[in-house]
Amino acid sequence: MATREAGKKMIMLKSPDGMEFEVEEAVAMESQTIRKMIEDDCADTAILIPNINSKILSRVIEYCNKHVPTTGATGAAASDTVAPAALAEDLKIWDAEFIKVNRATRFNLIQAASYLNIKGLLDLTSQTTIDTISDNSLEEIRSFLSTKNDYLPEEEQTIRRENQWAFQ
Amino acid sequence: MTYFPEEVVEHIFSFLPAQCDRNTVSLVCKVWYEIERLSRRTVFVGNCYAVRPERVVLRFPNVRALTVKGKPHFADFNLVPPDWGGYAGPWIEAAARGCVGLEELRMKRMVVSDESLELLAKSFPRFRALVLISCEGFSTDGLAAIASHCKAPEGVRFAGK
Repeated sequence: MATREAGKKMIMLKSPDGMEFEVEEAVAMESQTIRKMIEDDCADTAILIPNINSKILSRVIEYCNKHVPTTGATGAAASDTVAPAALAEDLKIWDAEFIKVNRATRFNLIQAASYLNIKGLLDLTSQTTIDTISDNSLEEIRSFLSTKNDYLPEEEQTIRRENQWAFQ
Repeated sequence: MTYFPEEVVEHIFSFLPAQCDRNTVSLVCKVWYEIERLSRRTVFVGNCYAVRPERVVLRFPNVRALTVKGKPHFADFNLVPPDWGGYAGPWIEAAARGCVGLEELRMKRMVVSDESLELLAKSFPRFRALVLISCEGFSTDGLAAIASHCKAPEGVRFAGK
């Protein structure tokens, strides 16, 4: 495990396409998956993050960097001057900007957030996905998610009827 | 399509604001139907005869909060014959068999017998809220059963006649 002059523990994260990212341990531990690895002492030198490419991993780290709690040595100054409410508001605006990505990237972020177990990021990406499909028709949702309709027409009709009459 | 594990799809669904959106989602494809039905926690049945209680329990076994409406609203003005129906019994029996995780039950203009309330009191370990609006057919005996069996921190509420 690398250590920097500031005394902050650094963790090396490796993506399967060979890129390495050095991040503060506190930032990496925004991911519950990585937190567990560190706590179980499975993270001596570098952690390979399978199935998340460097482009997505760098975005994930960017998110964690922003969302790491600003307490302790680094954040003391920031939280002294900025009210928590303003901080939360600032984060919200930042999140809104952060999630302005194309659909493929967002889906990759969902997968990464799920694998790395980063609740905030999973919530953000899920909410955004719902926001984009809520106003759409069924056909749009299907094409949007490239999901195939595998219902027989009569099966679909049966569910449609039940939904309509029984569950409002 | 990008593959999401079922628990991720379920998590995404948890952000759906309303029932009608969940209904739409259930029509997307069979996998989504399955995930949606197993993760639906609140069910609203606007007409107790639109669907059989067994069907509701079968489709949504993990429902926590169930709302069922019975007689039409002009029952409030004595314009519905007394034997019209709207019995709560079959609903409570079906739920007792199929979704023991039930926590909240709301009924409106239904006939709720003491026996049903006793079954309700015994069947759902996590039950905590009962709301009966303009319901009839029960006495203090049924309510006593609820009171003695349920921890019911949110209690029992009544409205109407």
